[in-house]
Amino acid sequence: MRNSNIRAFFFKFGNSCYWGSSIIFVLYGILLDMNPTDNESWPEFGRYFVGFVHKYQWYFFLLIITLVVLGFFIKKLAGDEWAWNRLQFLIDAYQEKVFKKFSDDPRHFHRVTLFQYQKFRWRLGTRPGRFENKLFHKIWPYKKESHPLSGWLVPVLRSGHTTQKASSVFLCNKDHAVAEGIAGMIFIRSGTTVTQPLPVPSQSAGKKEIKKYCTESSITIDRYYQMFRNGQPPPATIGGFPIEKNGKLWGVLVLDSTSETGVDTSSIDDYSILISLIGQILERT
Amino acid sequence: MNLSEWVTLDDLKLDQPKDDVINGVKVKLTLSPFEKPHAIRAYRDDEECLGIIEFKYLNEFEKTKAKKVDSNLTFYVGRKTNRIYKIALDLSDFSNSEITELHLITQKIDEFESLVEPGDKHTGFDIARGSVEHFENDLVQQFAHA
Repeated sequence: MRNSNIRAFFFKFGNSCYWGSSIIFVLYGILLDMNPTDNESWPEFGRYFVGFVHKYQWYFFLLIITLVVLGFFIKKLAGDEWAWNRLQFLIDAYQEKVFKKFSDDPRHFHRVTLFQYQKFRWRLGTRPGRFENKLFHKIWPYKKESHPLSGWLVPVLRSGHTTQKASSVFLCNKDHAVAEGIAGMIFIRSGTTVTQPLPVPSQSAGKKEIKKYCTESSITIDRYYQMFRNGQPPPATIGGFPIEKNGKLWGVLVLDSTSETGVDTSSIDDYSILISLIGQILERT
Repeated sequence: MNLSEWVTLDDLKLDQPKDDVINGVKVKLTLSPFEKPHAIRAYRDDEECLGIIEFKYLNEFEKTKAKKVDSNLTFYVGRKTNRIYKIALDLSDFSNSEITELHLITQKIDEFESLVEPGDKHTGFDIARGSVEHFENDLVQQFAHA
């Protein structure tokens, strides 16, 4: 999940660089216009300081340019905190509206998650396949269609403050049309996709049932057990749609619910105004 | 129906969910909410002698470019997405009685779609074409001289 505190810090730092450079530029202009040797009444420190600025004026000029560029890129990377806060508000509102009939359930039973497509993602901790050499997997855990540059869907926002910790990154290789999870499928298809009710395994379910669930929800068995360890009940319905930013595919918004009637096509079709707002605010990030 | 104001297309149910099985996953598929036009309006521009049809999408701020698809028909499509935002039909060659069929528009939408979206994929063009067909009589009335 997106760490809003760190991002907010960097956004403020970038903003400070940006505005700080403007103040330094104004002072720099004023100081360069002065000639302290003409005025004997100046204190020695003042004359020394203005002389210092005169002597190293090119370094000051470079400092201003560096601060402007640095501020611009840090702000761009951290994202506008105002917009991200509004997005969190909208996603929470979407979750509340679309899962209104389940308001008595714990919030993490019915979630809305925003995934961002990232071309590069350093991914460690993957498990070797059944026929894979474990030692070789430790040295190079990647495959032809699954490597740091293959494209990944990374969760950036999730509804509710109690459901922020668990986060799954899904493979989404556009070149090989290989995708994990319903999120990956939505991104590759570029259309709204909603699963039929999934065969959720019971607590005492055998491997066969678990495998069936994994196939029908397009996840690996490892991911199922990871969900289990995190105390996240497996969803019975999943759906979502691609999100655009400035006319380009940016990521996906995924709704999942432990109820068989939790997510259907109307969960998306009936909320076009909210979805439109999410798209518009995303353009400010 | 008066098409001079925006009329929502969501009620027409032009984008019916389709059942499919993708890699063993049983799913219902529809268009992305960003891809399909959500509203239509049409009016006659007497100064330029044009019949205008406009479509509204969720992302309504995209810049458009003009694509002349026929001697008297121009599509204004999104620069990045190729979505049809506006259709301008030159009415100077038509008398009121001649604007009875708008097949040319649906035919040109088909041709444009095959250019930018090859294959059988269901796209926002289907909604645009379906809505022109649905409102054909209203469009004819809208484009006729007062």
